[in-house]
Amino acid sequence: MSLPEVLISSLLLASSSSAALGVWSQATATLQQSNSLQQQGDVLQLMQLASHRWLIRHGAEHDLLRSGSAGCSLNPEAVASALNQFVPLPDGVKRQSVDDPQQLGVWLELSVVNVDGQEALLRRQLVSPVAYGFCKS
Amino acid sequence: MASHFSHLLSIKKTKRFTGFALPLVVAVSAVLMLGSASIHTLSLHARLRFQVAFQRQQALDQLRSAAQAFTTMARGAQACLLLRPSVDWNFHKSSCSGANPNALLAGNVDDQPWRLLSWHPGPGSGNLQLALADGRRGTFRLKLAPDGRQILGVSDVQLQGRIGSQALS
Repeated sequence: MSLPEVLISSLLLASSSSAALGVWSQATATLQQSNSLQQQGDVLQLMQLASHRWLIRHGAEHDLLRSGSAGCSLNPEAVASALNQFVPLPDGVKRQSVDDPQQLGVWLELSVVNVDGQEALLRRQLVSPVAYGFCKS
Repeated sequence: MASHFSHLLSIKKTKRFTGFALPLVVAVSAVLMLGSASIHTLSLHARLRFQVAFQRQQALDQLRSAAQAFTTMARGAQACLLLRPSVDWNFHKSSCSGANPNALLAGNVDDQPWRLLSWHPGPGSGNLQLALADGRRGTFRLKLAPDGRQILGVSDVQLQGRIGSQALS
């Protein structure tokens, strides 16, 4: 082994090892982030299912409709309040209930909030009082 | 004589080991780089898989929202239309006075257009098939009141793949 060969080999090994280590750590971080997002997505799915099951089974027992509305429409505050009470959310998940601009129902929004306070994932679905049998005449 | 022979032997050994380190290091480096590239590709695949699955869930949310919008629209004067399959709506306008079939044939939820593909009522329930603008189709089972004019519940969506988006335009 000559000195130049040893020097070139060491240099090559050092640079390739450091590059590989960088890529490995980046790949590990990406995998961890994907796993975390997957878990958060599963939580949102679970909470959405639980909310709809509660509305189907117990929604009619609570006063979720706007009082005095002839058109039978949901009260977003009442829906959010009932769901927060009976389908509590885990930490980091936020629920919002918003009126549809076309008066088709109420949008139920579930989101995962990052440590920075930004929404990482969002699921939203329209909820109509008719679809849950709340508007029986 | 003996010392000359051992000198020759040492030169031969040195020559045999000369140039051995560099190919070995090149091979090790190649293995390291290929291995890390494979792991990187795997991690990107995992991320892509999650994104595709989440987008599918969001598309299902849109279909569910469209079905909920349909139930809201199928009230009042339009409730009479629930008694007949959607293909007959325009032929039996007289039997449902005041009903506007167009209100149930298409709509928008959250700026996303949807279209009714079919409505088939049956005893106690009906089959609703909707499509989104991107061609995704979904089927729902709607629970009906005994008079057939009132919706009492909506099943979860059954995704049925895509149709050509031109079909919706």
